[in-house]
Amino acid sequence: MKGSHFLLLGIIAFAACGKPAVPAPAPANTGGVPAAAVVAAPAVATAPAVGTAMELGGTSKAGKYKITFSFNVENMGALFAPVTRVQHFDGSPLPADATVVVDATMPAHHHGMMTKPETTQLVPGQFRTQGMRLHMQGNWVFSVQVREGDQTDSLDLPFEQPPEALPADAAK
Amino acid sequence: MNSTARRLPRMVQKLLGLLGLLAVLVGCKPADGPWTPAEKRLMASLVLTSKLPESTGNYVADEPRAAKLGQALFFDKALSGDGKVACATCHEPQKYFTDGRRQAQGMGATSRNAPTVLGAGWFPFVFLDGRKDSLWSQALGPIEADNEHGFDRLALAHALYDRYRQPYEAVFGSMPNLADVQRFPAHGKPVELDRAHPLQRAWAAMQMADQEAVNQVFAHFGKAIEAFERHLQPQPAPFDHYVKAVLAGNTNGGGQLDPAAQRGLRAFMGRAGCVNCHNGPLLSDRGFHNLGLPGAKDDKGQMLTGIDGGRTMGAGKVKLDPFRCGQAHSDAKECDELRFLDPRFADFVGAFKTPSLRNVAMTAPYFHAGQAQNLREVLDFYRTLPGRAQLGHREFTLQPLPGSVDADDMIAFLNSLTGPLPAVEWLGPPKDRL
Ligand code: HEC
Ligand code: HEC
Ligand SMILES: [Cu+2]
Repeated sequence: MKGSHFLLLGIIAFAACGKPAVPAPAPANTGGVPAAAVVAAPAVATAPAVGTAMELGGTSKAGKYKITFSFNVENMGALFAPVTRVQHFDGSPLPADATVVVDATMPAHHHGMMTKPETTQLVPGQFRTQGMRLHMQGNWVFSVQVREGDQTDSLDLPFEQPPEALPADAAK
Repeated sequence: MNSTARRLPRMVQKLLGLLGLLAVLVGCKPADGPWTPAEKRLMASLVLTSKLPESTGNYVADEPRAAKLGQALFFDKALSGDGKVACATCHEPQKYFTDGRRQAQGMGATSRNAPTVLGAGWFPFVFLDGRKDSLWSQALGPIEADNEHGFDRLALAHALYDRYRQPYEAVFGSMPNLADVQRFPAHGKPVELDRAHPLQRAWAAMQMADQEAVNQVFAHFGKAIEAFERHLQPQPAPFDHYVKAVLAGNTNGGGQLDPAAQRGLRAFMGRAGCVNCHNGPLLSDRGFHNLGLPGAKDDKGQMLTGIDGGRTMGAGKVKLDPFRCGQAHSDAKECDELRFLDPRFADFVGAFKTPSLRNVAMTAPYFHAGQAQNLREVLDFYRTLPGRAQLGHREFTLQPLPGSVDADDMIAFLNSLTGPLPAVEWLGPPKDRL
């Protein structure tokens, strides 16, 4: 038997046992996890624990705003209500008529949320969004869009939703 | 020089070939190594918890006398048009509260598979299309459906008045005077799209206050049923015992899962991607997805006609349901589930509820219209994902099961999710007088 036969055998055996027939789409934000992790789960080792107080943030894409986005990590599927704080990049406050729209999508899965959240202004530059729900564990991207007059600017914030927390009575 | 350069790759080739051969010989099984921390974290999230979510809008949900009353009603065949159909007809306790048919059969044929009632209280939206937002309002549906109980709310109110008045009043307070058949005819119900329907005409002829009084009795009926159903919970299965043992540091998991089931579990959480949707203590994300299932056949092997819109229809209906959260007969003040529900979510088209996989081995046939007769057919479907969605599109994340995932392993794992039935006192009508 020639080497090439072995190679062929190897390839066949590998194909039979290896990857899904259709390769999974690559996740947007894998942090170095192999592509199979789109459908598989092991990435959860890096996700924050349920109950963690998260504060994400940064400068918006066109550089107009500094944005912070805070929420408590919830069990997958629970409604939660993040608070968004926005100021101009130079530190000046946001006017009272500026608005914010918050959304969340799973780019690798081509879907968003099953809910339609509502954002209300708490004080100028501070907003609460109710009705957010991440119904799957894995890689989500929050998008915060700020509108002032006819100008908008936005920021994308990757977040990994962990699996359901270990129920308190499960370990007993 | 030249010859080593040519021989080295050949060695690699041989090695590859041998490796591949080895993989074939051991049946393409993945390594059975110890669980990784990520896997342990994930399996812990699947363990059954006893923390049942609160009921939506039912002030007697956890009241023992209401549960006993609901229990009697659940098994009562007299609450049907032909005296032959009870809830338990399609939700038989010994079949883990299902009926063993592809599509349920009451006074007539239905087009959907009867899901279990065990654990139904965990879902914010009830029915396979989520057209109800509480267990108590769910129970009102089958009573008035022509192909299920074929009953009507006036007949139900009279039946409660004649046969259950004492236990009813002990829970809910006094009943309207249903003995007055001038005010409360024997039969009648609202029939929205048919003004000429005799039941609608009888209903429309009533005083508004009397209609409301009957609606109240109707809602109370549902609330008693829900109080009973809250005792119908999935019980810990070998899988749960296994995970608890593993988490406690017992590497063989107390011997609760055989190697095949362990391999199945690993694939379920990993390469097979099942946990994307079947997650949490019930192995359901309590959401809705379009699997792109083929059309269904009835028990005689005839194709069913009509295409089921699933969640898009259900999401629209629940927003308009007269017994939904926030309406007069609901005891709930906050209705966040409903408030933020987006009926136009694109992926709701043709989507159905992710069922719990607890006790799944006991509840064949499977899928919303009984498209699979047994678990092997379910896995054949996930393996090949045949055809295209009848409506909308198949969930993008769904990939054909890789060849390395063994169907027997997966079935062994699914079998390990079977726990005992709930306490025997709940598996039939109440033994003692109400
Ligand atoms: C004719 C058979 C039949 C009868 C009788 C019947 N059901 Fe069902 N049940 C079904 C079917 C079929 C479904 C799924 C229907 C759908 O999703 O549209 C269902 C769904 C349910 C669900 C929802 C489960 C879930 O996971 O969403 C519950 C709870 C339930 N039934 C309870 C009852 C109660 C209580 C009664 C009596 C008042 C009853 N059923 C009478 C066939 C029946
Ligand atoms: C994209 C989400 C998703 C994924 C991934 C998924 N399922 Fe499902 N599963 C569902 C939904 C939704 C249904 C019900 C579909 C219907 O009836 O239309 C279902 C139904 C089932 C059923 C039938 C249960 C019943 O009571 O009818 C079984 C068994 C099952 N899935 C097992 C699996 C296994 C094993 C895997 C991994 C190979 C898997 N599922 C992957 C969403 C998913
Ligand atoms: Cu997703």
